[in-house]
Amino acid sequence: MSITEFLQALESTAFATAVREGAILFPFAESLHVVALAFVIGTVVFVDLRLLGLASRNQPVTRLTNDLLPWTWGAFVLAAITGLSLFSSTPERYFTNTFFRWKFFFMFLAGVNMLVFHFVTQKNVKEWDNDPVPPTPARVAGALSILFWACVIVFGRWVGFTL
Amino acid sequence: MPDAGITAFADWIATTSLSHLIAQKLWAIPAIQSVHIMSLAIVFSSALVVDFRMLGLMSTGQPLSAIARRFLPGVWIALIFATISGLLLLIAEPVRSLPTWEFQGKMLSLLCVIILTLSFQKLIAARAPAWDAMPGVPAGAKLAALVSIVLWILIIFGGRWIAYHAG
Repeated sequence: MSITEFLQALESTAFATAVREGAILFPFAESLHVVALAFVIGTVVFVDLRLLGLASRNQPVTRLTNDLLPWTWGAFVLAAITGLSLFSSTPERYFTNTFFRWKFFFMFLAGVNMLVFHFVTQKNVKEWDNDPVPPTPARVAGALSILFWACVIVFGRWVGFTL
Repeated sequence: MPDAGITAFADWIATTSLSHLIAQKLWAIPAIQSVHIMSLAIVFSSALVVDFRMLGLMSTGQPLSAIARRFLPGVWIALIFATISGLLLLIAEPVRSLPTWEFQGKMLSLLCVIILTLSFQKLIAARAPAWDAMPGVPAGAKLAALVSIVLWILIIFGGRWIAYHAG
């Protein structure tokens, strides 16, 4: 099955048709998408600001991440489900949209940045968990994360104007 | 509701040069909306962290007053940016937003949640010794925290729904 065939099959599902043709389902999924992404990006930025040494400086880094990130992942799942619902309404139009592709490129970069932080930078977190200003690699991870997620928002918003 | 007055006001804003300037630049509205989304992400998340702590769902190992002191300033600072970007969007497209029930309901909800959050801030400080030791606040305050979450979600829905306003 080619990508085009897959997108067409997705578009012809009963669910996609309901999202596309109903008056309520699309705006509802879109609003829920904003609720979810607001929580994802807000809580990620809280962690990023801590890594930059700009906020929550009296908190151990791992306490903040342990408190916030499970909720962040929950909201991310909601953003993914609602996002996929919106995508399914007109899959080919999203898939071929340049801004949509840039959005996912930056989400990919945010993911890579997160993995590098998690598996490399954070390995010796015990040594700097309580430092008000974490070491340079952690600060770089925080700054890149804010940059990449801001790009995700900007390109995501443009999709709505260019479909 | 004084709809005729609001519509006339919206029509007047649409004639101003600032309104023309924003509306005519193709990139201006998506750019301002992006700033609006980033601001609301901070407002919403800051408020929800405090609400979740009040409900006993998050950061229960830390005193409520410490969580409130850390996160509530974020609500107010980011709300300034959300208000400025929101005002620019209103000025750009006043007729599309001002007279709609979605926008008016959003503003009413915002007013309610601001008052609620201000009272949380005072109450959490006043009850600090007792409430800090508890994983969650007493039932009445828990209900208020739940109302706060619902209001913030309504505000986001109202904002997004302006774009779909019919008639």
